[in-house]
Amino acid sequence: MRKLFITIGIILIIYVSYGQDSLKYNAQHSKYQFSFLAGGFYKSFLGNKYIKPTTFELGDPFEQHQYERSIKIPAGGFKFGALLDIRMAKHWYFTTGLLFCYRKDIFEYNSDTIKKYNSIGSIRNIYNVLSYNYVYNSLEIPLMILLKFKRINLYAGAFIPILSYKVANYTYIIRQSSYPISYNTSEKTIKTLEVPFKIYPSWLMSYTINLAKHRLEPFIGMDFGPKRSFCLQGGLIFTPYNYQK
Amino acid sequence: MLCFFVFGCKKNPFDYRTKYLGNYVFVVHSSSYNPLDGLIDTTFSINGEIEYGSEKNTILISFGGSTGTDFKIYEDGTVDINYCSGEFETTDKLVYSCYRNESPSAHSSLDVEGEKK
Repeated sequence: MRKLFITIGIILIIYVSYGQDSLKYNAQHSKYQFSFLAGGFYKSFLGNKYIKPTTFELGDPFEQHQYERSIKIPAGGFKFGALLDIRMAKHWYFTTGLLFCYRKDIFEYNSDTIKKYNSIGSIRNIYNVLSYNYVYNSLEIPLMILLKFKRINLYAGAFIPILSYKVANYTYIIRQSSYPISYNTSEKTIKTLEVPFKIYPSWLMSYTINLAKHRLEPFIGMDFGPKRSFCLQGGLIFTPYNYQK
Repeated sequence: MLCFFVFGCKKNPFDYRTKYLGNYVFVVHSSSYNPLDGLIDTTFSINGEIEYGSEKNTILISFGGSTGTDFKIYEDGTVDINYCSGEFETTDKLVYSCYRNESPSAHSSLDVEGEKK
């Protein structure tokens, strides 16, 4: 999979380089166009939200089965940042930039399931987790091909997080007493800076509204993420100086 | 160049284990019982350190000049190995305990609390 993305990246670089050398532009058209994007999204899932257990074999790493028997919870998020459109041919652009993105991953278990399948100790441990609540504050780079046709703009490509400040909140079930059996919950938060090694294939569709020197593009679109998740997104792209009319 | 600075260091800032590494003071409560010696119960404080373990998901906990023990560490700070389990309550505080039944009438236990210096 990684080789595929590297290959796509190399093809894009060659394509952009080729475009820089060979295209002739109308003097009214600038090759580069800066704009700002701000939007929100709602993450849901394709298919069942319950993660079915798979066959456990001795020696399997814990991470392989970590979220099994949990339910993926939908969540909202937002992103904002700057975009750069690079004109490659008539109607065709390469779009990149830098965005801040706030994403959430939530997995919740049925407490009875934890009590049934895991031994409960007096100390918190990862086998007693009732819910994982991850928040990713990420810097993301979009790599997209843009087709502009009249007032309609179609983007297709991917958002790639390069650095992420992850806040993980764990809720545990702790056995308080054995006779009568009673349980309590306990929480812990762990903060980490990480390089996520994820990729979110994405498409966007926007409509251009010209406002004197400015340009406004309301957009809708969709991201696809791990564990069959998808994000319905919407927002605005604002271009302060519209050179590419 | 950035990659060199980030990953060339001994401590990788993007490794989830890094925040727990360092020099610690451990308070160790050791207790054992067998029919010959009876109950031996002692508590002492000792310097030690936590380093990366031999595997990607382990940390090496050592104190008192010992070669140390490779504990498995999970993303939430839970640690465990054969007879021991515990957790990092915060990135600066580790608590774990070990319990072993050596025979029907003999057992030993160890409760360890470590705080980063």
